[in-house]
Amino acid sequence: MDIDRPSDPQVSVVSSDGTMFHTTLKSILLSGTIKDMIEHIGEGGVENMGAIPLQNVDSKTLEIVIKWIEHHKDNIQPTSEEIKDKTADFIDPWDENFLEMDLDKLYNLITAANYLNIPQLLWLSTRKIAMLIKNRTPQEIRSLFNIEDDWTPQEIEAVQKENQWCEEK
Amino acid sequence: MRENSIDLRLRSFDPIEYLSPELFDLIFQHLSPKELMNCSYVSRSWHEEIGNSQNMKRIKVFIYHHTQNELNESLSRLFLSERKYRNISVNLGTMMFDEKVEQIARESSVKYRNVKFSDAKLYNSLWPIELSV
Repeated sequence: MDIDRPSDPQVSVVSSDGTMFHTTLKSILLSGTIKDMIEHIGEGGVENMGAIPLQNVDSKTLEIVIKWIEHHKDNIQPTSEEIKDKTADFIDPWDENFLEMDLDKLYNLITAANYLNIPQLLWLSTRKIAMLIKNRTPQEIRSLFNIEDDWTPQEIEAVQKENQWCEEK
Repeated sequence: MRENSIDLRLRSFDPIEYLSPELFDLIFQHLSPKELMNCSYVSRSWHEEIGNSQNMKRIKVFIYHHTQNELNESLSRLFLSERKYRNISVNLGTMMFDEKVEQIARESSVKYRNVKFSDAKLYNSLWPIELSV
């Protein structure tokens, strides 16, 4: 028995602004992008592998991502195909709480989840924005995100006419 | 005070400014077609992005009309629309698809998918604008 080899070896990643983070292999494999990178190295090379550079994720965002993947490292992750057909089912209260963050952080998290290919995190983070939008009037949505109303009355009327054709499939 | 008021201006957190169009669109996978239409009123850029959305395929379009003028107006609007409609149902009934509308249809660069017209004559006359399935 190979007792020297931990079952979940440590892996390091470096953010775009040069901060190094240590996490575990099991956690980091939740990222499809990193999983692909590691598969090219081969199983034996993981311990000797250097820190993985992530050019598109800054340290603030990477810290948030690592918190999420470490919490979920033992959970079975849905594939991106399964996610497509997913409807709003039960959301883990831990995730609900985790996603309580400022909008700019949430947007960075969405972009990072997409780049790192973490389908479940991408689904959860985009859902969070959708839930903020849901059941609000256009004016309430503008206020929420501080969006300027740039319509003329004539344009709004045209949109209304077009929208009245549309029905749920 | 005046200078302060400039500093205190609220920063915009419009998701369109922070996310790529592909990621902005992912928000709408969680919302109903009715919510999607509601969001199209938010701003010009939301209207444009939602019109281009992959989620438009969940929208089914019905053109309602009582008079020839209403039909002309609706069809003209449809052909000039920049939304990527996929499911359109037009019931012509006894109405005619007149020359004026046909002209707009021909000039329109919009390509529709899965368009179903209840009148074969209309379908044929639309063929030149390329109906892709």
